[in-house]
Amino acid sequence: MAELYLDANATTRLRAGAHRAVSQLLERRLVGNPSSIHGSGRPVRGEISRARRLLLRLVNPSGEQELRLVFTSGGTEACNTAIFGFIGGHIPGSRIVTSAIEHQAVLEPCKELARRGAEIVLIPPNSEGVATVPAFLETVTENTQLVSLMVANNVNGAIQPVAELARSLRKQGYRGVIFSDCSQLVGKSSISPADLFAAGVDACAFSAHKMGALAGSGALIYAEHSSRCHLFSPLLLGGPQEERLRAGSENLIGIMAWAGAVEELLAEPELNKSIARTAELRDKLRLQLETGTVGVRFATPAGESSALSNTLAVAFSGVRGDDLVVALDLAGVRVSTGSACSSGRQEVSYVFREMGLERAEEFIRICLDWDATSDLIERASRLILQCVQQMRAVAKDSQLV
Amino acid sequence: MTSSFATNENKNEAAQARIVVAMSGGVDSTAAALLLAEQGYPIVGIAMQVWDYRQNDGNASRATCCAPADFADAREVADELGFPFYVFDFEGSFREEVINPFIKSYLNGFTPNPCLDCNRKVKFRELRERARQLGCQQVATGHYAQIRALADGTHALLTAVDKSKDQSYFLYALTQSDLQSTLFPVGGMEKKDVRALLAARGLEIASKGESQDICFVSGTVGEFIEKHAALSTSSSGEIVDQAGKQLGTHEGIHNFTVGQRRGLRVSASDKLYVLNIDADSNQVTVGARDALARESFTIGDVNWIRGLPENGEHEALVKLRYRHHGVRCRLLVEPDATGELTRVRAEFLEEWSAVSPGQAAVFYSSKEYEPGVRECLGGGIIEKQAAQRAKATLKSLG
Repeated sequence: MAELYLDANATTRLRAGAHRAVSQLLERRLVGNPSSIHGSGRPVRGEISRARRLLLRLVNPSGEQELRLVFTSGGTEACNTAIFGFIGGHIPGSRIVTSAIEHQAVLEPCKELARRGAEIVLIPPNSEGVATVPAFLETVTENTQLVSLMVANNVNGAIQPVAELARSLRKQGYRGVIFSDCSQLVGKSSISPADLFAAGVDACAFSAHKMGALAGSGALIYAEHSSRCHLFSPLLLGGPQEERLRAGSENLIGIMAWAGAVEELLAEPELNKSIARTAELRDKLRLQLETGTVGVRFATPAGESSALSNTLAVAFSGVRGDDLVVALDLAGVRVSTGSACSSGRQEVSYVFREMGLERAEEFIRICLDWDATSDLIERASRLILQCVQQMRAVAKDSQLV
Repeated sequence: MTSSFATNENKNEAAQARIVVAMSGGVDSTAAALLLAEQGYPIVGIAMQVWDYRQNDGNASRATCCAPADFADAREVADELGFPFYVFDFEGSFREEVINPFIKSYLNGFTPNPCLDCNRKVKFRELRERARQLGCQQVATGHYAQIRALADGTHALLTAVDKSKDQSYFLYALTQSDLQSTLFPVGGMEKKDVRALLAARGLEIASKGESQDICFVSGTVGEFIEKHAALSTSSSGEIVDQAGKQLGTHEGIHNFTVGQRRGLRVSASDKLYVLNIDADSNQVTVGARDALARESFTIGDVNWIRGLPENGEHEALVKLRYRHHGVRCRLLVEPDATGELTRVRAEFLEEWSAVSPGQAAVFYSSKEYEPGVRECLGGGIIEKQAAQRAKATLKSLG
């Protein structure tokens, strides 16, 4: 049974470039500490510098923005670094404004700061799953030190108005830090991180395994010129790596794999075309599900610039999302509800609840990977409809009994 | 293994041949999964989360059957053996089908056994429905009991090979269609061999403790009822003797079981037993043990696994609670209030035993099916009994 992978927002499949980079690293038996000044350290340091350069080129192709990059252990550490790092010791009385649909990597550090005396304001999304600019502007005050808004939601794919928010905040004189979790962005939207920085964003978080490389690497990219970033204090203390902003020897294999994936992305002559192609496949799936059965609802906003190209949150009335995920898994289709607890139980994502959706427990998240094909979508939509029909039939059956 | 799988007509279809194994993370269900996996059957492990141990009290130790820590063990085994494993939320139906009736039943003066409802209405009914939604026909559990396909096309439920572990008492409500599509892989094994099997595979679960308590109760049942029943008024009432004379007071009838002797907190020269619990008057009647004796009692909501007995009459060994040694009774089928033949009057034949309304009475064949193994014929719930009629000629061993 062929696997139909449709959970790219959880992790993407390895791109050939990443695979090649890892193989080469192992073949070359590249061993060395990038901090060493001797000959073993040099080639390793060279690889890391190259990766840093490639990543910065990806987020800032024109080179207009002056950006710095700190490698971390992943998107979660990048978000934690931003939130704890920018707030520093100024906790009591400081206000943080963020959306209620951020990833837990943002929400949990904010909750921790709230326990330590900061004031946290969570902006609920509208029914489309978007935290709106006016809602933010109303709550950002003099004592607000950090505003955080993800560029796109990982569960329903809704694009958040980060650039517009940054411009409006700067226009009204906001002088605190603006941070954006960009983990889901690359390869799934034509939004350029450079435009976010240009609009007044100070720092963005990225994750390697959301763009075709390995889990275990991430980066916090920040605007060098921003005086606000001088407040940035490291999360991990130890050796002087990453310009003293992140102690610990760099994850060489993860960073090289990432560089390999980024190289491939940069080499794609028209990355935006491939993003548009993914969106076409996603829309085709949407249409097939919608016309294939009754009682289909979507929680992903329609429209090219409203959502990530690959994401489709969908519900089939009368079928619980957690049950459907399991049935689809057994049929070889990998999707999720967008949330799982530690026991492995699928739960209703708080994103659907925050959106105020009725019967939120019926929603599942389908996310196309970078290598999705028309054939994969055909087969997936057939299997999804089959599972839904089978589950509805069984439910109807037992009601009659 | 029973023969029922071999007769599965749909075994060629991968999804239908897949067996759903209810896995709690305990010794028996893990062994059940292991046995089926090693025999080459495609299996799916399912854990049923029935109670939120984080938010309610409950026995979250590893000695109960459905604590979350156990699911991690089950998941680990599934991952290592390479079959899918999922945790499903059955909290809603568990509350509705097990917890609420349990509380209500106690408040009405019965002594229910929640494991019966859990097995019947959650473990078998809900699990089977999920299985069917997943396109799977067969369900397996780690129960100690056996299923035999008979020449006449029916399936019989038999006691386990390991007599000390037999759980057929909890399974009396299974129907023919349940038995056709159920497997009890460890039912033919001794518990020590089940542990040895897991140990031989290097699984730490092999040395895990036994689950015995009611999983959702951490303190006493009385405390649980008081906390969860939202009692509006004081539940205290009178403890009286058979003549109606007050001997003391009690803190709620839910603290008592017919036949109970300990914890009455009434001083008397003779040993006193609970004879009757009356929810309407909120009175607990106590008296000498002989007053518990009766010639017969009635059982409602009866399930006969292989159909009603011929002539409406049958002699059987009847267990009046789990771990009861069983007493010989003549069973007489009676119509219930609606005229359905779901009621049984049981007459004690040799010895009598205290009957506690709310507990299950489960019927076993008088003859052994094979050495040490009896057939479980069915059972039902002991009803509230009319006034006691002592039968002095029966010896009291219960």
